[in-house]
Amino acid sequence: MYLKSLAVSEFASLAEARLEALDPGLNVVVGDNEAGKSTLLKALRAAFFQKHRGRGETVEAFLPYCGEGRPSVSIAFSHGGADYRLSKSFLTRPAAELLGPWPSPVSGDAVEEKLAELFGFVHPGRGDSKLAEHQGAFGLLWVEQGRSNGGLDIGAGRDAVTASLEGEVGTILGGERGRSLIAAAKALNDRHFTATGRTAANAPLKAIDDELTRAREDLVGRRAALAELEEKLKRLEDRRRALKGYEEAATLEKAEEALRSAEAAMRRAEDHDREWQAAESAVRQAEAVRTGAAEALKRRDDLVKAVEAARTAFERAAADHAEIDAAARLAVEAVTAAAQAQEEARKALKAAEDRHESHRRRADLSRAVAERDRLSAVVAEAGDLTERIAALAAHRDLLPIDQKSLAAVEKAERRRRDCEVRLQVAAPAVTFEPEADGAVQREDGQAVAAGVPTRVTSRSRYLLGGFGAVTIEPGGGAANLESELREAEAALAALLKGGGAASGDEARRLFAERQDVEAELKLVSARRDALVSDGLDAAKARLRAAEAAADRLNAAIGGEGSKGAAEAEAEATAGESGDDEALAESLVAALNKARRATATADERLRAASKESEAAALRRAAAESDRSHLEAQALRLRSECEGAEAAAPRTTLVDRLAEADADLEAKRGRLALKERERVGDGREAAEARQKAAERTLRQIGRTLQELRDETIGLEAEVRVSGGSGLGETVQLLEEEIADLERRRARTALEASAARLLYETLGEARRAARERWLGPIKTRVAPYLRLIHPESDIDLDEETLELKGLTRAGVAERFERLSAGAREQVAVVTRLALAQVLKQGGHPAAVILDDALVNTDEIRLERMHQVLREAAKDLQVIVLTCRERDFRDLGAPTFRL
Amino acid sequence: MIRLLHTADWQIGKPFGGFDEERRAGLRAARFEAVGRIAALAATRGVDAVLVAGDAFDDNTVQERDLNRVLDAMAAYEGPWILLPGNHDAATTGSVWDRLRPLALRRGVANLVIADEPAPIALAGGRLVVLPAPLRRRHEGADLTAWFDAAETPAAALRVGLAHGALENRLPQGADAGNPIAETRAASARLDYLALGDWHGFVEIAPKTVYAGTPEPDRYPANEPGHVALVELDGPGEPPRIERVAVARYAWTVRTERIDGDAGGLEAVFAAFPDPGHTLLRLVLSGSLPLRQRVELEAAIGHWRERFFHLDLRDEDLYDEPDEDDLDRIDVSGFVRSAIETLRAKAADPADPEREAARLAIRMAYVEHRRLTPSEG
Repeated sequence: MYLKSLAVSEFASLAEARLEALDPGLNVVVGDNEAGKSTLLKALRAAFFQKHRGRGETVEAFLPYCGEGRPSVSIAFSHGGADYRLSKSFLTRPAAELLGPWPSPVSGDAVEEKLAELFGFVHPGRGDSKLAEHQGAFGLLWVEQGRSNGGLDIGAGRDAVTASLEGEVGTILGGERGRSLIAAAKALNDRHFTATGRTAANAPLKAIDDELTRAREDLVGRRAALAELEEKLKRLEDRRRALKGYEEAATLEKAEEALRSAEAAMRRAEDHDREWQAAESAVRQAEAVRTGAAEALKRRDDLVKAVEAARTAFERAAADHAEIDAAARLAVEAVTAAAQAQEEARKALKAAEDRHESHRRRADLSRAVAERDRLSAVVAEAGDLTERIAALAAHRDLLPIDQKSLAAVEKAERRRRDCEVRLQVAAPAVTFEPEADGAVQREDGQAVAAGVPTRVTSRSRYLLGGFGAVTIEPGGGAANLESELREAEAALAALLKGGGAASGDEARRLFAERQDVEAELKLVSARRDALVSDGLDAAKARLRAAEAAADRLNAAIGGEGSKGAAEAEAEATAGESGDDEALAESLVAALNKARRATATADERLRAASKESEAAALRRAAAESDRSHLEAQALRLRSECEGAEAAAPRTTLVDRLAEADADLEAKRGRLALKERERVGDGREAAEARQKAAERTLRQIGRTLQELRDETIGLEAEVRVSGGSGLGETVQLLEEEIADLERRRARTALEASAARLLYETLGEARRAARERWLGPIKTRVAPYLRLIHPESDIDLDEETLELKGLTRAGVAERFERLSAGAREQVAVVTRLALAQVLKQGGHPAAVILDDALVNTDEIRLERMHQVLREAAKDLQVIVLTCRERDFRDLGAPTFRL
Repeated sequence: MIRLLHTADWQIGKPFGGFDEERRAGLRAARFEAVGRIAALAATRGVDAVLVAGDAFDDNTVQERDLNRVLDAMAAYEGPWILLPGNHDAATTGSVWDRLRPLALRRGVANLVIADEPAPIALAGGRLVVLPAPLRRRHEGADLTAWFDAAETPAAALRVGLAHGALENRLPQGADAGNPIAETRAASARLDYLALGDWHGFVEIAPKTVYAGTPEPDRYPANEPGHVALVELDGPGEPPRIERVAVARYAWTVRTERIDGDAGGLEAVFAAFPDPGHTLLRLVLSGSLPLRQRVELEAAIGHWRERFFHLDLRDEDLYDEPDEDDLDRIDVSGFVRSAIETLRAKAADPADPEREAARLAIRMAYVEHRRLTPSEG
């Protein structure tokens, strides 16, 4: 199908519009805003889909803006190889006419029926024709302004596309029955699984598993109870057997008999014990009596011996005392002799000390004299040097040119020279060159040399022979310089006079001389200072002190009387000779010898005194011993005599013999009792009795325990024995086996349900892929131009655009940019139009400002797409931007 | 002449855990009813004694209430009941016998003889001596009947052995061989009859030697359970006359059917049972079926499941074999067809771990599809 021409009049904003000779391929209709492009598309839809007799809001909107008129549309189009002409007028005298490949034109309502048949759409029962519901594929193919970047809004066009697709790939979607089966399979699957493929909470398998868990847990508990019961039964049997064993062996009775026998043995042992103790006590008493008798006899004998010993000791002490007394007397004599020797030694020491002291004092005097003489010489030299220093200072003071005044003189000299130089430069030079005998004189008459320049530094008057006089007044400050020079010269002269010099050179010579004098002065001062560092007066004071010291020593020696002062001084002066040293040494040696002799005498006296004291002490001790022993011997003799009088020794001997005989008899009896006791020991009997008691107690306890336990076990077994525990265990085991069978079957059912659902789903997905193939095939080359490596995602049911997959990344359609959305939607519409056309459906695409969001590069590519699509499809582009489509190479129509 | 009723393996207290509550209660009650019928039979036939050859109780911990119920059931016969401890109710310490003896005393039941000692029991005024071999542990390695050989009895008295265990070399392969009994015991001990228990089917297993089996079946093995033996003994050395009398209430039956392509024949199998309401049927199916047949089979089984006392279907070896007709009924076009093809490929691949699930999935798809299109179904 394609539109050949279109004429609109009095239709909304369009008073009159006419498009003639539209191309079967690509067409561009240009119109500014408000020019009525969109109205043109509205008029086209009205002509095809709106019943001409219709009223209501939509149709009322067809009226021109003035509110009056007869909205009319006339279209010529070709379809299925035949030409048609359709005319419709609305509201005012509504009319419709359709000329086609039949004998006479169709008019009125029959036109609407014919159109619906031709273009495969339905008229609404009542109300207006709606795009998505009533206009078949033209809702999809004719795109109003602003609708291009939404979805395809395919609506009723789906049936036409589906029919076309089925013509191409056959019916592969399974239709309603396929959908129902998938729903049924899903329901089966959902009985068992959640959406994420896990076992559902209310799944039959879950219920069986829960029951299995419960039964298994129950079984574990029951088995444990049964095992416990069996264990108790085993214990019961064991205890009964043990009890029977005790009874059969009469264990308790035997133990009682054993205890009785042990008790009798014990009593016998106790009797023997008592008898043995009595015999032992008697022996101990006899032993005590015997010991008393023996001790009395021994005491008597000891006393006799002590008397004899005391006497002997006294005699020995008396002899010792005599001997010690003689020794003490000898010691006293030795002390007297030592005291005399000591006195002599002390006298000799005094003499030696005196000699040595005398010699020492003379040595001191000679040292003092030497010091006095040395100081005297120093004082004399220092006096000479002091005088020389005074003379040099006086000389220096006569030379007034010092460093500072010399510098002033030299500075004045430089200034004067400077003035002279500047005057020479500033003053004019006059050269007189008189004739052969002419002469020149100064005013003062002084001749002036001819032929040589003369500097005129001040107003000068020259008398020229034969001429008269010439006065020259130099200008340029020469006069000032002249006076400055005079000033400088005066200053220099004053300085020189102050320094006592006639000239600068003399001043310099005087300064050199002064420097020489100062150097010498310094040298001499240094020598004196080295001699008397603390000054001459101090040196003189030291000299006086040395003289006094020498006098004092001399006086002291003179006091000794043995030698005169002069003699002493002479000896002292000679003290430095070697003889004196030898003398001093011999004096010291004599002194030391005397000291040693005195020390020896002291020591000997001390030793003799000590020995004498010790001898006196020994003598006192010997005296004490002698008197003590004498008293003791007397006392013992008296005691011995008293005892013998009371009981003579023979009586004591008899008593001891009697006690010995008694002890022997009692020991014999004890030995007898001992033998009896060992024969039936009490300890052994006691141990046997205790063991028998323990055994009896233990047997009693064991029997009681066995009986108690047996009674307890019997009671427990009675309680659980009739509870049907074994039956319950078996029941649970059988139940579990049954549940496991059911579980296996249910698990298989669940697996089958899932497999069926998944397999059906997978098959449907694959079918859909095939189903949408033709559309994708047609879209692919267009898409390559605008979005390379991308693929559209269509809903196979609604055929609506779901998204775009670019480089493997899926993006939802509504999230794409406005530009991408309109481009993808336009190429998909073109592809669907081609599918429709292939299926024999009328298809022409009208795009009203459908690419307003597209950038320039892509717009250019969209041109390529449009040109490509228009090869076998009419495409009408309505636009307000002519330049966007100027290069499209398509016929352009203007509104 | 001495007349005896020989029974065994009552297994009172067996829980039947593999069944639902209702059936469980029915099966448990049936065991008391069987004892009741035995008592009535013994009374009617005027037997001199009833010999119970072990395992009267399923476990030594049998409930007190069950002891009372069994005494109630025994009341119809007033002659002596000789009860022998078997392996399930061995005379151990704290065994059921320790409880039953005082209970009988308390209830004034005087005709109960608990044979828990290996000692001769004289009955019928000394004309009959029963030699019991009670188990005092669950498992005995030795032959407890050995003492019968040397047991002294009056020359005129009949010698009847009473034992519980496996008669050597006589029972089929795989039978429990615990608690052995010499196969020649009847002869070596000069017995006129050896009453045995443990094997649950009725069988005259050796000369003068009989397993009476359980009077009320409790499992599927087909060894003719559900009987008691009525034995008449004319005198020492005379051969016994043995009558097998059925006393069971429920029949436990196993049917194995191979069905290939058509399950229609099963209806006749079900219909052939005379009393399905008292029949426990284990139906083992193998072979393969198209889906529509399989669905029909399921419906039939659903019906019969409600008629039998219990129908235990074992169809692990029955495979779905969807044919083209089945697949056409599912769908001829669209993705469903390709999904079914995928599942068929999995179902046909023995190495595929989801093979079983795939088979079932195809059947589910079939069932669901039929459900969604009832007009064609």
